[in-house]
Amino acid sequence: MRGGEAPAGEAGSPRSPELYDFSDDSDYAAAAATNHTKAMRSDSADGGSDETARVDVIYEKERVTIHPTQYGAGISGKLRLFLQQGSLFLNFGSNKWKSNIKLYRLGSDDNPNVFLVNDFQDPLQLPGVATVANAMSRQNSLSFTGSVDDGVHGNDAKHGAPASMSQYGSMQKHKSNDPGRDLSIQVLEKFSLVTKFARDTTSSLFRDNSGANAYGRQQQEYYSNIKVSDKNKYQQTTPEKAAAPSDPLEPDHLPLVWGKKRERPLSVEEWSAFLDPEGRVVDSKALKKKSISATQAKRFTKFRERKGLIDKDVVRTDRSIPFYEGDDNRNVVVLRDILLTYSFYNFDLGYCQVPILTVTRMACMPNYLHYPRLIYGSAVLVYANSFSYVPQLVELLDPPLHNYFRQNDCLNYFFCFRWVLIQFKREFSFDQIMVLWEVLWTHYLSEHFHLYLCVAILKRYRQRIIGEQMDFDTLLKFINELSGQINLDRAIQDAEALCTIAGENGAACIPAGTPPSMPIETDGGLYVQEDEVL
Amino acid sequence: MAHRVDNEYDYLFKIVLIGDSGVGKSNILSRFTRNEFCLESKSTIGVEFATRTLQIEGKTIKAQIWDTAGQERYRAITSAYYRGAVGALLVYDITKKQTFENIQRWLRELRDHADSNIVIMMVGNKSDLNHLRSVPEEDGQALAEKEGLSFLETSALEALNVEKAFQTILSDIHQIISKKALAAQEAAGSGPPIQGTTINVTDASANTRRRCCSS
Repeated sequence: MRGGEAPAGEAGSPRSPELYDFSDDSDYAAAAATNHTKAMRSDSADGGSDETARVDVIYEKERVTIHPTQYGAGISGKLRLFLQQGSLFLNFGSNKWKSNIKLYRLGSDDNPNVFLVNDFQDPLQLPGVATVANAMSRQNSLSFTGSVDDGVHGNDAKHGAPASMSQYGSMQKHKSNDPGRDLSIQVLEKFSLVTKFARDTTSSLFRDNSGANAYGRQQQEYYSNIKVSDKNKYQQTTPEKAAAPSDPLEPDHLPLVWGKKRERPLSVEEWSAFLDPEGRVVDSKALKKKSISATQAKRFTKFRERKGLIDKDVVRTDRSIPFYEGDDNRNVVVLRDILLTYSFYNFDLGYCQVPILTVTRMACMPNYLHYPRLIYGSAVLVYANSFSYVPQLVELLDPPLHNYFRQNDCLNYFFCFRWVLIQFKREFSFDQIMVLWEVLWTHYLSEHFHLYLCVAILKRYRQRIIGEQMDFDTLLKFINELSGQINLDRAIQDAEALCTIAGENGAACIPAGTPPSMPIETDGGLYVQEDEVL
Repeated sequence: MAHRVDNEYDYLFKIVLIGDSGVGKSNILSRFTRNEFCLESKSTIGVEFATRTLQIEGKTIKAQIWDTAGQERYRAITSAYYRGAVGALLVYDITKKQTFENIQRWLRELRDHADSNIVIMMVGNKSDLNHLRSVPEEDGQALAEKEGLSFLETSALEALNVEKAFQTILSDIHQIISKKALAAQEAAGSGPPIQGTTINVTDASANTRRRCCSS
């Protein structure tokens, strides 16, 4: 939720025409790459609020501009976060229009600031989904409420409405086919990291209970404030309490979804039929029927692509360690399911090969919720880019070696790319990696200790590199073939010494915002690029 | 040892392997350079390369084959990867239509980053999985013709055509180099006005085919 230009920084630089995304549809990637949100700080007070006194505004910014498309004009408005009756809402708009989006706390107690945008009144809610109702009025105002008809997104989207967030509406006039609706969709997508797939999956979950257009009555009554991290509490909030500041959308006024009647979503009773008193799914087969069908899955190119990548990756990851060893290993299936599930949950963030590393981390560390967002998608760029600070450190800690690299056209230090990108995962055995990562993630001497480790290893082999006059190719091959050869303890000791020697000067080599080896949320922000994640 | 600079060759040709993730690039590389195949090889991170020296048309050619991650979003290494490459093996998986459909994307990538004279060969890998085939060989052939590329179906697993694919592309490159050298001679004015020398590629590969069995 943080605005401003801060997260861009160095992260912005790697974006260039040479970035190709072969794992996603290009239009999709392009949209993600070009959309961005600019926010400017302003301390001016809230003027045109129509909220009641019950609302606690906790954050507010004027003149926040969202650029829904690369070429489209920006939409300006005021961004506010406010608390009402224990629920957090995001409000965006001007005096002509506005939107309210409810946020759910996703983070655990360790990470209280991770929220998801939600519009589903059901324990099965999928995160990252906030959608737009057709609420464009004739006064050219718009309201981000309710849901998007997936049909507007293209041929692979289905019709049928996901559950809505009708109680957050503020406009009463609705009109289908409004030219502004695409804009509103895109705006909200930027707000909410809408995952088309998740949305669709959810809609399919809810759709099967058709036969009624009287959507909304139950859902409003059974609204639940769900904390994903604590499913047992999903029924703790009453619907009345959860109502947003202005709730003009009486059930009778529920909007058509782009001209179609919204189908009734699964009610809590219906949903609860699948659960035991503890909130666990008891009848998964029946539930599966309500989830994505094979035909539906087929329609989603991106889903298929991602699934293909994940399928390819899981069978070739750590298969030599006992946990994943052998054919038909159940754990491999579990790994696949975790990755696939996460890919659903954060569809916009994409999938790279690196997430398997993430999963390993998830198994290791408690506050794992950060990693997927860090590692997935464009955040990888930020991460990968941090290897480019190794040169500065080498220059500081071993000028002759740095000079050698300069003279031999090795200044790009690409040979360190793999080291940093997957934190030496390929260089050491699995057991060693557990040791190393524990060391790295303590952040004891530096949160960028892994960069010092690069320097330490390079220094350890400097005699050979310089002595054998390795050129770029030879050096790259040499470094690649160091895999399994590096003395870990000695490398860590060297790095420790180097880090101590470098002190402040070393820290100065690494710009603020460079992802640490273990991202710990310090200021409410994740190390993600602003243009992909609001 | 592995990094010792070997100077005993006439030409050093850098060939890049490109194509979608999981099409078998790394196994094509290992089959060609080490005669190895691993069903569960790790996904490639960053760049790797291996070399093999072979005889083509009487010349000792050192082939330096570069392999990179097919799906990597962050292609920071792109420039270094394509720098100096004289050939590209563009690989798809005959059992995965999508990898074939992405050929165009890879061709665009080559146009954007590689030398314009780079010799490209299209390779449909995993021909051993014929029962799972989703790209007919004719389709591959047709696309290759349309794009002016040479084409082969290979199986890294069965060591089928891998050798031939590299020999073909290396021969093509050698031919171009020889022609250039010849043209340069002619340009220098010393050479007689002869027609371009025709080098029979099949003969050339036949000369070196015995390596196939020994490798």
